[in-house]
Amino acid sequence: MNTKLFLHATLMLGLTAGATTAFAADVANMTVNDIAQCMRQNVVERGSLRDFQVNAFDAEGKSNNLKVKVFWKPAKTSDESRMTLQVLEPDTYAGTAYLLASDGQSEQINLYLPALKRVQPVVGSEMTQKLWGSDFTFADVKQVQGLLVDGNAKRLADAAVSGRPTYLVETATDKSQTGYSMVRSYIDQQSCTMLKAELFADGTTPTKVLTGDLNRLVEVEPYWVMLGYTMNDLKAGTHTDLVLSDVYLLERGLPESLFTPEGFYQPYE
Amino acid sequence: MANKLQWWAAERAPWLLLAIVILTIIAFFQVFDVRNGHLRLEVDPSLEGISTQSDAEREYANLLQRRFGSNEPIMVVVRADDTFTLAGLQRIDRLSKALATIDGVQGVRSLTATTIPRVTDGVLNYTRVTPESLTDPQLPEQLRAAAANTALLTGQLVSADGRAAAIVLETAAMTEREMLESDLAGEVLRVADTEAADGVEIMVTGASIIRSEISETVARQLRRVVPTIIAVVTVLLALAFRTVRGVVLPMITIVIAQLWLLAVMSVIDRPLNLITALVPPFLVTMGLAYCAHVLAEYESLIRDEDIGDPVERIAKLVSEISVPVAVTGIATIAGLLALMLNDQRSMVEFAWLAALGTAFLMVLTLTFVPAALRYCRPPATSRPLPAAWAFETGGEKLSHFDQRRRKGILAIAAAVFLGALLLASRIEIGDVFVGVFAPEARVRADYEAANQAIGGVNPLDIALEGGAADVFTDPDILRALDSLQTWLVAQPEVGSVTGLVDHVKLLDRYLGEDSEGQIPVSRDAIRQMLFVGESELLRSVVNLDRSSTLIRLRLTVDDTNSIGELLDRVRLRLTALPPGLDVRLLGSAVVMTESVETATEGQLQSIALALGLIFVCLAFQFMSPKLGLLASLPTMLQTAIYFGALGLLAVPLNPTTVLVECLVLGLAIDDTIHYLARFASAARRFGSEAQAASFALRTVLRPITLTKAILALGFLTMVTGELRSQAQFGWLAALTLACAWLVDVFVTPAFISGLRIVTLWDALRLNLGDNVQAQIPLFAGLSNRQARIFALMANLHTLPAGTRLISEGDDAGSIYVVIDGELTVYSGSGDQRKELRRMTRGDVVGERGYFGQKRSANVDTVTETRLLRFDDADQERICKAYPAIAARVFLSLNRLQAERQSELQPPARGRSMEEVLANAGPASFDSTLGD
Repeated sequence: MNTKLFLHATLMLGLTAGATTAFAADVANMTVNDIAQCMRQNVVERGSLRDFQVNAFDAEGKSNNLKVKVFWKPAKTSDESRMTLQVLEPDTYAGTAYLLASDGQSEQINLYLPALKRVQPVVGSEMTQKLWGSDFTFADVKQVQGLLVDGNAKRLADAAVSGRPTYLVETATDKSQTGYSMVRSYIDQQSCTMLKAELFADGTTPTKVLTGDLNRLVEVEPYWVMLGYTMNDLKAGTHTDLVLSDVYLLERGLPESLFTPEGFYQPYE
Repeated sequence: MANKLQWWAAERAPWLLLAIVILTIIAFFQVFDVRNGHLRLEVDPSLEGISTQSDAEREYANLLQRRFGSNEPIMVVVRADDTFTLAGLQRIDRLSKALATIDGVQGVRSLTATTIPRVTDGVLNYTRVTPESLTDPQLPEQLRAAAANTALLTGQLVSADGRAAAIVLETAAMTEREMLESDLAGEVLRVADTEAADGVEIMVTGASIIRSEISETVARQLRRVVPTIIAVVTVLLALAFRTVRGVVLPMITIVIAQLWLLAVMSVIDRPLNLITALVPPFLVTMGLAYCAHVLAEYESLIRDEDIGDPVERIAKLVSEISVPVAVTGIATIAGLLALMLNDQRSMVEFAWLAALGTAFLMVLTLTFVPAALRYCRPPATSRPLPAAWAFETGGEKLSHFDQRRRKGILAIAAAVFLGALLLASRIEIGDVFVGVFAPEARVRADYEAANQAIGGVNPLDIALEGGAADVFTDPDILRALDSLQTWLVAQPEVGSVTGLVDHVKLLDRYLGEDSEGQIPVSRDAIRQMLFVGESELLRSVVNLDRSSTLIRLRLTVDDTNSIGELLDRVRLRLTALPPGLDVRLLGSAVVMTESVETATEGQLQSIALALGLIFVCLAFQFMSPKLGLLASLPTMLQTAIYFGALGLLAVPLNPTTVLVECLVLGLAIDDTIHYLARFASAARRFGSEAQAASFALRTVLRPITLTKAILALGFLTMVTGELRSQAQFGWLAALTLACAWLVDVFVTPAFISGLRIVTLWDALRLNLGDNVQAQIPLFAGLSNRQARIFALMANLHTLPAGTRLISEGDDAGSIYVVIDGELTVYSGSGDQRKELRRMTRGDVVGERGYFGQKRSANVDTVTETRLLRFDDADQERICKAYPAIAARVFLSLNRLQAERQSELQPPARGRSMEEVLANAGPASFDSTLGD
């Protein structure tokens, strides 16, 4: 039910690339809005394809590993964007697929379960629900990105993450909606990618910490892409690794059948 | 040795006081931090200590809490005419949001804060209620329809009739103590009450809410009850003794003992919890009893004109009190230590803390109190104690009554004992949780109203472990769980049940094509549905790899009896589940029920062991198993009466009521031993058990009565307490004290008055000289201990030189054995006087008279002489109490008699009378002299 959210989350995190040159010269005077714009303008909007893995570990070390393939592209005739997701592994979930259609105002998912051989249209979202049993909720990512949309954020003194200078932005949030009262985001000054985020439910100790894997921060000219994140739920003792494979920026070639409910019944090669 | 000890205590009083003061000052600084005025000792108001969970069980419970989240959420229930109205939903939404902002609240579930799936025009709507939708007139009916179709909502977030809605708060993982200190419960109450209005009732309940209230109430009660008891005790002590020392000394003694104990707890970093908090009242009780006896003895001594020297008076006081106080203390400590076999950790702590406190009291009573009394200036007059006449006369009359009606009293006691045992068999083990509060208390009223409105609020979980991943996606297993849930719902104690199968059915209804919602036959279908339907709610009943699941129940009952019966049925039903599943019952309802059952049963065993240990102590003290048993009987009777009263009054047995029994044991031992000590010494002094019984009762009646009355009134102040358990403790303790007094003044004297008692202490103090067996033929074959017992069971007399012991021609009746000194045996008088022989250590005098003949010569003491006298009655007593000793003495006596007879065959052996007399050696003058 939360696939759409995960898609959003994935896109916002992994597929956000940094166009660093636009703001690089004015780091000291960057406002929150400037930082938001730096991140927002680099969301990849073109049709593309990539794989990612979600490895969720519970407090006892038990894991649930997924391998997923994603396709997305905008509709040619409207503002609508469409995404399709297919679970590749494990076998028991293989073939489970989602089609997300958004016209900018409303969103709908078509969900396909191969065991039932049935497509079910779904609408709705749940901000605080964990996605696929992982440690990611949509609110997590949304709040990390919150500085982009609600403006209820302030820039604090710059900090360093693993020696890299970052903008530190603190965003106050509505706990009843998000589960958090505050999020602190550490945004790489060079790439405008999220290197770290701390999510606070109460007090001054974060409930969760999102950490980018600097070894997986790659430059795809002219973009920077973070290919690995780990979300640690400090209270639950769980963590989830999100690992993205190489990015394929496809100018063309994705068939329309991939973005229709009927296409679920046809195997994609 | 004993004399040295008593004089040492009396003469070194200043040093003793100084040492005690220094120790107390150290203890004070260990307990209080004078820099900030705070206690260094931690006070833990939580109920965690009551649990009998093993570490492994606790660890598993913690694991499940981490895996599935809290199983004890706080519930805020909103009751109105109809929940499914826009106003009603808006109210729930406001409250949900406000409650979510409270620190410590990790998650909120309610009709507006939870995603409720609903199908509109074939599209599954999986959105949470939004602020915009809360103005949609169609929303209430949509939610009503959605709620009606799933067990995940009905009975969980909304009542079946739709009038009540629950807002369920998941709290952050914190210990009970942290939760209490955070005042989370109070904050939830304050926020919840803001939505109360006409026609809208707000109820807040949950295990943590109830525990918080219990803890706070207990703390509040302690703050009120302890000063009240102190005030009542002070006033009554003042009335009883009408002296400053009579009030101040017991209070100081008790305070010092408490300070020492608290200091030890502080040093070893043990907090004072709800169970160990009962140690201070226990020490007050025992301390008062100990001091009352000492003060009563002291008051008696200062009225003894023969003792004018303060040091001598204190030495005498120590001599009189040391044995009963020491024996009482040791027996009580042994009894308390028996409680350490209990599985409940707090009971174990209670046991050793109370034992340590008793040891402190014992030491202080034997050192501090006498030392302090040395510096008290008693009145020069012999003004009688308050109500002395009443106690003297009453004691005398009661003693006569007891002896006159001895058989009747013992028959009644036996009947009461048997009746009490029969009544005790009706006792039920059990406790209540919210039922400890008065019906009008907010916490209980809310619980009961919420229970009625929602249909069960007391959580209980059934945890199932499959042992491998994906076990709980097996359709067969899920159908078995479905059947189990159906059975559970049918149980009268169960309000609602939810579990994995409800999620699967719900998913099947919306994702499959079955409008009813079934468990799919395909395992892959179940797996895929759970995969896409993953949510916090689902994760609260099944883990990530589907190897573990919970069935969550909400019970409508909270008493451990009802829960225990349900648990028995559930356990039986669980045996019908497919093999290979590891199933356990969890939750505070289970923990409390099993803790109460285990702990109480354990306590009963411990009390039985305590009685056994007390018997051993007393048997050792009286050097006879039989006397030990007899001396234990009053304690056993009081114990039986107490448990019989519980059965008669339908009071369940639980940790609280069992703790009262500890007081019963302690006080019963104290009274019995003091009575026996008085009786034993008086019996030897007067040579009459009847007189001794009368004297003993007159002496102890005052302290026994005053102690019981003061304590009973003190405990009765608890009857007005807010918690039913505390009120119950108060009146049970008072009633028990009253029963104990009746046993003390009627049954114990009746039991004991026919006995001659020898105590170990007496035996140790008695000096019969060296090499007793060789030098005193009557004791041949006896051990030193046996010889002393015989001597104490008989009558020891010390006669000054020149005293006539036997006159020729008198009726005989007693035999004398010379312990030391010298006597002369002679016939005639004046010029006709003829000394027949001299008798010294070991000689037997008058055995011929013992066999029924008249005295044949005169016997006078030449030097101060110690003699052992015994007659038929003594022999009878010895036969009953110490048959082995009696048999050996008879044998020796017969041998002596035979030897004398053989020595009296002069013609046949060719010996003259002079030769016989000259060679007689240790002899019996009657037999030696012949007829």
